[in-house]
Amino acid sequence: MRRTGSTSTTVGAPSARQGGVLHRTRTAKVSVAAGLAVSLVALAGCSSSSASGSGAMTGNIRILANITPVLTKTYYKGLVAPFVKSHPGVTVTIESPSGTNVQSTLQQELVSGAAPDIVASTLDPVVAPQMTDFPNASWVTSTPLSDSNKVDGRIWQVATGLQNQSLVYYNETAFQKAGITAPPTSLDEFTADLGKLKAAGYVALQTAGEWVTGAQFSMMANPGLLGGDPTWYAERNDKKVTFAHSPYATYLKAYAGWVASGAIPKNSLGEKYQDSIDNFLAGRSGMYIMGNWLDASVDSAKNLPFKVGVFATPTADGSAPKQMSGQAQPYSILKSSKHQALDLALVKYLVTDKAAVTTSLKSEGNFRAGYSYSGSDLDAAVGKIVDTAPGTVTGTAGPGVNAGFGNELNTVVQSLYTGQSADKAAAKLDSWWNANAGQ
Amino acid sequence: MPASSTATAVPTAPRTVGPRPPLGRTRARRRETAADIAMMAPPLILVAGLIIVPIGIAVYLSFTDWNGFTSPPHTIGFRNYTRLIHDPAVKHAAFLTLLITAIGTIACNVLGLGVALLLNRNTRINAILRVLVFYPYVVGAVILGFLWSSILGTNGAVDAALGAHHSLPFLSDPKWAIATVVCVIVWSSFGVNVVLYLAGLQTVPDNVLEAAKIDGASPWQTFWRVKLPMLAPTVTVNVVLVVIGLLRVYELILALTAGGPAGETQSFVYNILTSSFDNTQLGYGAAQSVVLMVFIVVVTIVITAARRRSEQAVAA
Amino acid sequence: MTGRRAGRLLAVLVLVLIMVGPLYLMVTNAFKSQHDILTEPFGWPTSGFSLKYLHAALTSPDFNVVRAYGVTVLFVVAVNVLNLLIVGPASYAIARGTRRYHRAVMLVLLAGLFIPGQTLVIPVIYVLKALGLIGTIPGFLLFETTLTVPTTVFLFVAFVQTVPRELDEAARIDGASRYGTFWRVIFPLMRPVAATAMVLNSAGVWTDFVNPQFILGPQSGVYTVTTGVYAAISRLSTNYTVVYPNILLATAPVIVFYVFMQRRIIGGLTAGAIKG
Repeated sequence: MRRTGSTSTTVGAPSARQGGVLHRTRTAKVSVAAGLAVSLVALAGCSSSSASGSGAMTGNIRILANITPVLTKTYYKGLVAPFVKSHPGVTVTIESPSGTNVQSTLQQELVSGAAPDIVASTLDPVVAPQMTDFPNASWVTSTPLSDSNKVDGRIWQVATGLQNQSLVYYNETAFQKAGITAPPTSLDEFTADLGKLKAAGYVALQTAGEWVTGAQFSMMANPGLLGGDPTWYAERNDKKVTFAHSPYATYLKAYAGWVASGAIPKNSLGEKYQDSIDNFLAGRSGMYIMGNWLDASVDSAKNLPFKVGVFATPTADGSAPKQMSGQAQPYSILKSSKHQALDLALVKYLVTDKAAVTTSLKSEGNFRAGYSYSGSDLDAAVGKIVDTAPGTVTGTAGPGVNAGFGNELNTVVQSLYTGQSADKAAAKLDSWWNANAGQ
Repeated sequence: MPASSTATAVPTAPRTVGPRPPLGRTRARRRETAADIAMMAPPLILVAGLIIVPIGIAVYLSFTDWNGFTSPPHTIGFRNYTRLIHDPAVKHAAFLTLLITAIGTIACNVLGLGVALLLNRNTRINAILRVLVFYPYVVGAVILGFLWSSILGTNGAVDAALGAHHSLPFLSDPKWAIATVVCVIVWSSFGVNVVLYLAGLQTVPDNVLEAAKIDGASPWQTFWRVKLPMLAPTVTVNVVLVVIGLLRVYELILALTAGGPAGETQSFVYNILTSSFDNTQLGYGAAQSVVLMVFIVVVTIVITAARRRSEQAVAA
Repeated sequence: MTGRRAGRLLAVLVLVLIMVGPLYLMVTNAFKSQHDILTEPFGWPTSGFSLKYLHAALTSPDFNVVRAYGVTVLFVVAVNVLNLLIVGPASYAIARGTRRYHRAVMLVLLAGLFIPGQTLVIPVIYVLKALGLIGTIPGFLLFETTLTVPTTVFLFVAFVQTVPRELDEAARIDGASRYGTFWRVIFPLMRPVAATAMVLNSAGVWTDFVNPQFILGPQSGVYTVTTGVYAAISRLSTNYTVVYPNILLATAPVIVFYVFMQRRIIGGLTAGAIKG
């Protein structure tokens, strides 16, 4: 109602010369405004949420969580249940993103000044300044990738485990039918095998629309881009390199070829992420590039009519790629949260408690040194690839990468389906980077 | 906001004020003025605070790099505007929105008028059919978008019925997806036009139609020479409504295609909200908003001016 | 003549098909299993119809559809009440006003007529944040009500100008105040035009998505039917046993309401159009 004052001068202006009237006008108006305010406050009654004092070890913790087919609301509720039980007066609300994803939902909440207390998701570093620094304690520094994700020397996210993503899952029956004896290692072999799979009547390479297209591309191409040159993104910011003359161009060209040859059906973009999992598990497709969390979906599928194998994504020269890997199920605490100590206690529980960590690792087939769980054969096969990989590279978000790059890459890769040439696609990435640098 | 937009019922001009009233009546008049202002203040405060001031703030933010949470915004001059002129995503969104608006306006009006003529006679069946064409209006774009996406999407109802080998890329091929978006938009909104045209047709006096019949005019001639000219104001209302509605299309696309494939179905408003919240560039989003607002105001003025001119031409 | 008839019949048939088709799919598939939807989307399910998907949607932990209905209905009622309380007297004052500032106020109130609400979202967030009203129900209702002001003012002013001034004069001689004159004498005459405004405003609030999404936001924990359905099915859009029942639950009551009220709803719109 602060506006009332400023508007009253404009409204009152015509009658100002009439002296005494102005006073009465204002009272009348104020009473109307007050009436309005009262009725609104009455309405507000049903939405108010309780806030607790600073540093209190009781209250409601709002967690904005990444919801996936595997990480459901029920999963998160189960994960925090023991903590809630051992902390009387504490409740936890799991919020699923109301926008397109966690990042955009969080940003929208930050804009409205009503962010949650904890975020359970990988996040773009653009929001790092809004996050509480984790203390320099051993439980923090021993979490996976705690060092490489720092922004300005601050640890703002702690992870439960590691995810490896440069993996290709394949249908062993399809490989036999197509006459493929050994998994491909180079891009050329990969392309040739796609042809064989297609000839054998399979969807050679399973993909989907939504975010999947770009994510799969980076799982395959980022080891090429960053494997030999870990500082590539920084050099791109200094305009020393371009996408057009990077390994991305090679992969874009190969990808465009797969689309043109029909190894990737053009209507794949109409499929959702869950469709792509369903199709692969129904035995309709030959290969499926995905992070190790696919293990969970494969293992939980009943009566799978074929065996699923896994190999590392192909490289230009056939050498073993570094693994694009990222923090698995990381947590951040918002600076704006009113009960920091409580938040910290919960996050500490989630990333250190043996049972909690094991549950979380097992849920997606993730990794963490010092924690082991009885995994499936597929988990073991992925573990072997990870153990023999020459190192790790980052994904499409992180310090020095423009916010929204993952989205843009996704759009650009999808444009290969619509007849865009690989060269133009790479050039589009360059122009996008230039336009968004430092924004 | 339908229906009313082109009404010309702006309050009548001030009446001539009589001779100066005697002193006693001045006080009464003052009381009148006070009551007047008290009556007008609440909506004025709301509109000023939540429409006029925000328009000003949008203009201000469009000259800043505000990301929404690090305060305060920094002024960066015309950078957002020069950027959006060269931004391929903005250009595509603008093109797509204009395309949807152009095709949609024609289709909604042709269909709206056509179906209105079809259902004009007051029979029981027609009454039911009128209810049927109008129901999308009360359901809302988000839900309709999801419904159509489960009908036309990959693995959707139509795909399943056609079988795997005959599936059509309604939402997965960009050209198809754009066509699908246009069709679903027209499907979901032409019912309003039908209703408005039906109302317009009722204003055509029966005796005029009788006269045309007696003169031996064919139904075709009656339509072009008699009904359509008399419907001119209704056409303007319909055109303005559809144009304004389609220039801001967003919700239906969000639910139907989520902007895909390859961002090909991202409308202008879709792009504004993506820039703002997904890329945390609220300043840039505000610049696009300002462009859209100016465009809509200009288009509305042009359409109403064109109407006025054609009316004058008819009168002359 | 028979050719024309046949053409007419064909047109009606096509019309019925494209309008009823989606409704048919929505209703039948809400009772079918995923497998039956995928294999026989238009046909009779091999495993029969079942209420369990509808039940699951009704009791889903992700989206309480009954609560969303209640919330949205309350919003619609609140906006309509606020709208009448605020715009009614103002329109009367403007319609009866003879001074220049009356006209000026009218123009200011109409300013929002052509401004799409979505383009105002960013600056309105800025304003409501400064007022501490962002993400709150009062903030949301204020903005929704504001969006209804231009159209309603338009309809009301045009209507009041057709009401003879003699009625006011008579009331004034009887000693009624201006508010009293409006509420007791003029407002009862405004029923048809108020109905039109309520139809337009109700449909606007009911189907709104952007404002509950961004102004109310996820932090309020309050979902309307549109934002709730979006949250419930956007991530599960391949699971048709979630999609169809949720869509059915979200649309069935409003369609039933519409069918019973169609005369008033369509009539209200039509009255507005003729005025326009």
